[in-house]
Amino acid sequence: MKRRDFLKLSGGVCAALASLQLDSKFLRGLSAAEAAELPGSLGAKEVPSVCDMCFWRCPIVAKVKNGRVVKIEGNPRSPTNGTRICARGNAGIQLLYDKDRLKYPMKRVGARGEGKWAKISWDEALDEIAYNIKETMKKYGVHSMAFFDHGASAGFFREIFEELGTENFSNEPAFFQCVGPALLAYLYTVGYQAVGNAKVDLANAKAILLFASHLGENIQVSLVKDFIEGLAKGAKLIVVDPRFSTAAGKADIWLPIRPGTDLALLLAWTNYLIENDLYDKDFVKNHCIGFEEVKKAVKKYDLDWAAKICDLPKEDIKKAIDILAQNKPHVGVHPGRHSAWYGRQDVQRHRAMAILTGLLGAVGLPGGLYFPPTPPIAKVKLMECHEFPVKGIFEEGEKEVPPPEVSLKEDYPFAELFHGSPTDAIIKATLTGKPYPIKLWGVCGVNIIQTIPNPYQTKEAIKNLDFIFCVDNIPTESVLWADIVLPDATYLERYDGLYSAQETKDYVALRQPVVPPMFESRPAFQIALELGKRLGFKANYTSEVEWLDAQLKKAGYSVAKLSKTGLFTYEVNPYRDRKHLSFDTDSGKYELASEAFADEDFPAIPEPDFAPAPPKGYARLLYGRVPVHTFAKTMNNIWLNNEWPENHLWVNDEVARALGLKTGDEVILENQDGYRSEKPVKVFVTPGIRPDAVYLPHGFGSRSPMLKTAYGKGVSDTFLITHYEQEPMMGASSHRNNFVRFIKDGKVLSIPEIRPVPPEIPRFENRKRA
Amino acid sequence: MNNKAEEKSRHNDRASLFLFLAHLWDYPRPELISKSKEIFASLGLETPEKAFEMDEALEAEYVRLFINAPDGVPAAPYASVQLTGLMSQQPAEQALAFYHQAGLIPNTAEPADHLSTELAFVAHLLKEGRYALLKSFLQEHLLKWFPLFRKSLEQAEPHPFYRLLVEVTEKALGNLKEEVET
Amino acid sequence: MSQWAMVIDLNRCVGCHACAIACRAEWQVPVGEGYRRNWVKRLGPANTPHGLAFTFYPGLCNHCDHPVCVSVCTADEEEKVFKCPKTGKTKKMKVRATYKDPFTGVVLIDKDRCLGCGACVEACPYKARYLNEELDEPKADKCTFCYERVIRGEVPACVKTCIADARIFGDLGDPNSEVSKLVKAGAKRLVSKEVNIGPNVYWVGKEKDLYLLLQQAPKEKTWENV
Repeated sequence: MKRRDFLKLSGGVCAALASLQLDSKFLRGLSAAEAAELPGSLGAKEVPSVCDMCFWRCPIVAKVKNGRVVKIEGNPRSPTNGTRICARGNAGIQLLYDKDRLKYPMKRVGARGEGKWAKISWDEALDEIAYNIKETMKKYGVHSMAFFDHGASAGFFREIFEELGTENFSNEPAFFQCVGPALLAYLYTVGYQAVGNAKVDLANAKAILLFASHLGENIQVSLVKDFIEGLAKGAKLIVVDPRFSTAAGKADIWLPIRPGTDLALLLAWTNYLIENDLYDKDFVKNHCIGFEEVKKAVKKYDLDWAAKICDLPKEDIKKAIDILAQNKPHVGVHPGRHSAWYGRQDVQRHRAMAILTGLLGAVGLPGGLYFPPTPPIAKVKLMECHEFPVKGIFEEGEKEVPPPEVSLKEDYPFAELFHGSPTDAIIKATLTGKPYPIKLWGVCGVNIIQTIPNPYQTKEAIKNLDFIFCVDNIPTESVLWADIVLPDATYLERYDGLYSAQETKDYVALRQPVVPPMFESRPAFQIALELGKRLGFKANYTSEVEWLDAQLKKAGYSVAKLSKTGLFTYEVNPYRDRKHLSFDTDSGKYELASEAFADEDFPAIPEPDFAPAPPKGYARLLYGRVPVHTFAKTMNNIWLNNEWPENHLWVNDEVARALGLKTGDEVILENQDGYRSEKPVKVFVTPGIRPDAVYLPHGFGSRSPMLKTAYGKGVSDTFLITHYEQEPMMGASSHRNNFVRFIKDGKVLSIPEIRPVPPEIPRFENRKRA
Repeated sequence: MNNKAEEKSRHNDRASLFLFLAHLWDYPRPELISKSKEIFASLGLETPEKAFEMDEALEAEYVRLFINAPDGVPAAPYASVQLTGLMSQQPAEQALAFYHQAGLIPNTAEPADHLSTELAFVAHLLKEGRYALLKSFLQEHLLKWFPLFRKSLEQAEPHPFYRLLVEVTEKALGNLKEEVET
Repeated sequence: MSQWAMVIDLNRCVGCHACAIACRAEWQVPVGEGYRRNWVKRLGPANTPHGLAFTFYPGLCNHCDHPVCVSVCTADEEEKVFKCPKTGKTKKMKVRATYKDPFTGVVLIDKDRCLGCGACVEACPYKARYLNEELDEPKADKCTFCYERVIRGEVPACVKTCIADARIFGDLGDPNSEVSKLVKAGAKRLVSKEVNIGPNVYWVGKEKDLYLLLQQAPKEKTWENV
């Protein structure tokens, strides 16, 4: 009998064993009392679920003792994060037990923004919302309603607005203030969504380019893990960033690029690869279109020119591209994420990054862009509106308001790819009634006041609304400005959709309640069903379990089967044999030149396009993330607040020396439109930022006194972001074009211009606003 | 069926085997002894009729080998005894720690490090797919004392059933060890 | 002889603070000024002789060879029986309310015997301890290398959660352990001319990052003032 075969049990043996029906009498589960005796989190009841402290949604295991969640860890079964989760994930407990969290439905009793509330019942709250939706539709037509959405809960309400038929059924900050431009650029180059989670195989890259990313300060657990693994395996790292980020601290080369000149660097690099025959000839010849056009277009851009425009040493620019070329095709070019920076150049900047990626052949193989898997689950619809317009809203003789002649997406030829409408168009329509009036807003999971550029404008728009309701966990500024507030159950108290990572390994994970909802908070699924009922919708499913089972059936799973392990993995295929490589683009190839863009009168190939330099006396206001917080929504979490209570302003050391500033000094910020920060911000003096920029982490300076821990801590970057430019292709509101100077002890401190600005770069024109 | 499902099914079958072995190291029961002949035979062992006779001799042998004997228990099936000479020492605490990690505690009157309980734990880990914990449990605990136990059992010149049983258990553990190490 | 130790890899650490929150959650450390068992400090960006650097100081109790905190404890000496988690061997020793475990080298506090005087908190040059005054009676508290978890087969909470796998935990008494190999290869610890009490937490990283980190080595003989 071969030793190897011993455990290969034949069917007969298996049947014999099964027939015995042996019980596992030797061991039993710990009772809750016994478990509670063990120290720390040991012995706790374990409930697998999915985190929602940010949108990365790592699989977790929540540990419960005596009915209390005591610890959250990663799910060891997860092939992406395993037992690891970040500071936010660990701190989910303090969202659940936040004393300031929304607990009951509430109705405003003072003016909008005052923060005076009366507690009402769920029935009253939902009746009021449904009534207002119907009234608004009657008076102004279905498009007069807009929904601002982000996060797990938002999807359920988005379905309602979409079913009602408004073109403004969604307005995701994710698209229109963040990832839209990059997503569009890569969609039209590689044919798939390369940016949702950056689909770049950093763990297996031999060289990594971080352009437009401060990975390591934005914590996307599995991507950071892969990034570090790639570095540990010896990958070379190039970081292009006006600030010496955490990633720059690990880089072989840091290129502190002049903000707004990125296209010069990318185009010069592209030309360098072509001129010196350093590009992946096989990939370009067999899998790309537009190479000859690109070659012609970039011919005039050389490294000397880029060095001048970008204010970078030529040797470093050359060293960097040489490193990338030497390591092709296993080069991880991060496609970027937040890309709503300057306006017209935004999509083209990421097109240039995608072109560079293509020339390096870094597509479909280890280290490069990978093809995302499709999770084996079904898509189902929760509710349907079978009578359109909604039953019963029109009385005898009343007619429906005819639809407007102009769509809010009119000005943006590629906006149709993104569900919903551009933010700026919605706000302008709300403010001015043009091209048609918007009178009702729904908001879920997004703090619109601290997210949308020019919050002063947003507030004015809100004042024009007939009705606004807000669904959230905690009372942010947006909640302050709502008429009706609904308390959303936290992710630890509910079911939600199914989640997948769509990386080089994948899973389908179940979010399930760890503890029952506290106070009168309810899962968004249930709130939406109730609202839908009042609007005459037909529900296809009446419970989360039923709805989830319908999605899982295809893969042979159910909620019951998944509830113990929390997830199942499945085979994925991230790479492609060059022989079997094809792209879901119009041409079927990797599109170095984009005919689709040319058809709409946009450049088929990126051209130099530079953001205006700061006006004299000002520095550009850059913003970003800190690893301990998520957007503007975790500042009230007592554990996270304890780690990082306020933001500080990074100021270049030469600038500081010229102005007599040291670390810890406080200054008020005044922007180009005359708006000032509500209170002084502490300065952090460092050589790690260019003299023509300052850096302020996003999301602080809460203006909601209902958030006792977060209120007034730090300074809001959003309230200094009063200027933005509309990106012309899909309608993002690009806002990295605000500039500040300092006010200290009543005196205005103008920022000295230490780095000269060449004539090729225009100046920002200083226009004061009311 | 994809690889994962196949693997899961295979591990469930092994889990059944190890649970079966756990029961066989417990006080002998007639229905299990008779079933074991069929199963051992399918695993390729020689299964003489006499070895599987469930009679007083077998019961007495179980007591002699594992519970009480005139010169002391020759083959105590406990990690602590095999490793330290005494009952309920640190190896028992170590076993208990492993069980706690999986949210379990022993459910019999025996100390935590009895062979039956430990084999039942292996079965549980296989069934739950906790392969990392299984690897630790094998490398850091069970496989450290099982060879000593086997030796002491052989030296006690056991009834042929227990000679067979220890051979089956050793081979099963050996194959499992190889698998988790790859 | 066992000595539990940790090596932190600054090449990997991204300063995400997951370790700080995981520890706080695991041991239910209250939020308050200075109340923490471990911490993450940001160092830089700043110039160093080896280039511009930006790194982190993820700190915790060093479970020193010569723990000055132990020497200043004001509780009376009492005999205590220690048990080796690996072998089950026992040993009797006379100790005060805080002591260095003879079998693992972990410095622990007996919360039943601690008088809450705060001497040990003052004495530690790394400021690794704090006095928890939210309890009925004040007690000193600090990192225990998750002793209770490790003896039950688990890993320290900070190690388990680290998203960059930057924390390596093990036994310096085992020459084949990863920590032993890293220490042998030149891992650095926070010692200075003035303060060298044998810490057992080490760091590895780029020259420029270690340069910034080593500036954090304590220079004051804080225990002499107690």
